[in-house]
Amino acid sequence: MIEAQLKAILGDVLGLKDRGAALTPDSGLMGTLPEFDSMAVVSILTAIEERFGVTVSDDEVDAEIFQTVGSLLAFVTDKVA
Amino acid sequence: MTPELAYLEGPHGALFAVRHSTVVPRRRLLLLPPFGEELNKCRALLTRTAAALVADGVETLLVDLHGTGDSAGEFGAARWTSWLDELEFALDALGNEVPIGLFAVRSGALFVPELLARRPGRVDRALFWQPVSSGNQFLKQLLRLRVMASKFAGVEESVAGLQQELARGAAVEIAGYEIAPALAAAISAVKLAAPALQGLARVDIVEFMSGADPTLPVRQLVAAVGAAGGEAHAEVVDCEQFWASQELAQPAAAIASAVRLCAASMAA
Repeated sequence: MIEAQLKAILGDVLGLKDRGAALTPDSGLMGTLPEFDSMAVVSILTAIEERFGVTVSDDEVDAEIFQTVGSLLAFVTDKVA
Repeated sequence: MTPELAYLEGPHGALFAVRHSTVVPRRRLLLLPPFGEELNKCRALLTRTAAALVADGVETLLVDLHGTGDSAGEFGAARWTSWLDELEFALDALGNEVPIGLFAVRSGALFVPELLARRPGRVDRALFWQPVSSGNQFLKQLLRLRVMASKFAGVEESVAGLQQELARGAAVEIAGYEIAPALAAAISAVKLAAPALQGLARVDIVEFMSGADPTLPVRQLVAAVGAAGGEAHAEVVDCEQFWASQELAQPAAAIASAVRLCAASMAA
């Protein structure tokens, strides 16, 4: 459920179209996808806040959570719990 | 349909206005524009949406707020209250011949509570596109944009640090927009909540994302408006996030949804 919504967010924000559906937890994000810039980070965090009804503070955010789909999923799952 | 472009004499200087009008209008909508870069991303889509709406008898007016677009003033001098003055002025410019509605895009939604309070009864419906419902969260997201851009440039900043700068009375520049402390404080104080929407006959909220239910804040808002005796609808349109996408997007599904919802509200 959370994974599907997160993939939808990534697909929407990054404009991945069909590549969005092909994302797996091992898929690399920052440093792998050329679309993954600072603006994308902000848009993804915004979408996570709006769609899951949570607030993310910037001291929780570091480069590590954006390494892969799996690391971002772990972060979101933790937030929503 | 060619839009009419004009400079209106607004309460705080010249206001650049784009009006789509027709011979026999059925309704007029005042567009409440999103903030900063999001308006630039949306502008072409809004023009196309306005063209589709006016073909259906729905006229629209979009003004560039003080210090934005082609209107007078510097962004750094912009204040929330002067923007509201200008939107109130634009509401009056819509005349009294047909029912008036609001069409709020993203953070444009944050103008709605104060605008309805200033002019009770003037507006009978509101259409929201991906509304920003918490000014405080929105401001933090803007500040985060600056923090992330700095981080990518190797400079460490924090949202809390920038908030302190604002609190000390210093302006903060975000992606080319100089945000005055007074503007930041006013934005962060606004919340779009059900009580503010009382008095509207109908509220439509559209979110744009890949097939999912409306987001939690929107579901809560719709339920609260309903509980207060109003009529509110939420829907999700599966298309690009046109206010944020790197390439300019003008999804036909977004335009179609606006036309359909306006037609539905006029039939009701």
